[in-house]
Amino acid sequence: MTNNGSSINKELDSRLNEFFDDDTSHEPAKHEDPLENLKAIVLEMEWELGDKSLDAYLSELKKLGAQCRQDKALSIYIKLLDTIGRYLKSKKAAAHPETVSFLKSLFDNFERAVNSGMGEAEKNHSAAVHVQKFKKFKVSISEYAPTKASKPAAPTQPSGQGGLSDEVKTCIRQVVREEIARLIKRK
Amino acid sequence: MALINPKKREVQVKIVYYGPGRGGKTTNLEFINEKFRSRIKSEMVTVKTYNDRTLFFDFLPFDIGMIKGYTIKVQFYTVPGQVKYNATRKLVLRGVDGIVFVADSMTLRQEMNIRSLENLAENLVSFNKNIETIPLVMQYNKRDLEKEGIPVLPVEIMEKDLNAGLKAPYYTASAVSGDNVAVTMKRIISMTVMSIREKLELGGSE
Repeated sequence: MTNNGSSINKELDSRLNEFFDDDTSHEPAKHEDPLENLKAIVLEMEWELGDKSLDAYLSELKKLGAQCRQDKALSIYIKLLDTIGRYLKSKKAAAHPETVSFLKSLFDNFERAVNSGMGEAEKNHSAAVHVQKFKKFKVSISEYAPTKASKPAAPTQPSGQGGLSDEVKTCIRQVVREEIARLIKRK
Repeated sequence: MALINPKKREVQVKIVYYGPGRGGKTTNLEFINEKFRSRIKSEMVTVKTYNDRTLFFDFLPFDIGMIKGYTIKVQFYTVPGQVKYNATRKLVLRGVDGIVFVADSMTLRQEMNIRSLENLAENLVSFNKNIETIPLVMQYNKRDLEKEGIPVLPVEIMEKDLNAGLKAPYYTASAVSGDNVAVTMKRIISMTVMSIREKLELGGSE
């Protein structure tokens, strides 16, 4: 009994210490912003667009994508942001001049959807609106490239009809197709 | 009496915060609820009268996890401290497994503390329980008032008044600032669960 008693006592004490630990790391992070890192990277990209920041951006989106898997509207935003990031990575200075500002505006809306406590319906609506804006922007990219792209794409990625690499075009098409299909299904 | 469900491997213990009116029983639970909200994951229920006094009781349930293969569910209650609500106090004490006696350290409340402890002993007798054997922790609350120049009883006097015969573990505390609130609670949970350990080891008999 004594042995059992002391073993229960030990287990109980350790359980209680764990449960009522004063360590604040157990408490909810009161004002922690899940987008803090991404926000910093996006701001950095506004100043300077390099491989380092683009890689960090894409990697941060990947993390967020895994965290927001259950949230359809946020997943849509993340996919759109990811597609634009990959486009920027492939084109860099030759990308459409409005790409970074479009990305920034998309990110601002994504941030609002994450942090403002929007309802599901509002978030879905907002995501749908941005899918439409994305489609329009994609068209403007296609129109921009043949006349203004000063630097042709690398020989392994022929500029083709719109200046976009086939890889990026396929990717954009796929994402848009998926999102539209999802939105139609939801309606 | 602790409810042990061997099929569900679940134990439910009831702990009551007892003491004179305005002694800080509700404040203890409020602090716990606030401080450990992320882990408690349940709502504190409280019914108060117009001037913020506890009318029936406060109720704060939570699981502390598994001990010896049993999920331990703890239910904290407070009683209304006001003398006139003895029927409610008795009702809340039904099935109690452990008690925290929250005494008010203010010198003016010396007599109230003693009367409330006597009342606890009497009420326990009506449930065939004994204040000397039930898991009990003394909390001498409102020690912070001393800093504000309000006369408080020396701990030795409080021990003599309330704990000379019982020899229960005691803590000085300030429920408002949370000082020793969690420690008091840990101690009473520990003592209460230990008091039913034989039943747990036998796989539950109630």
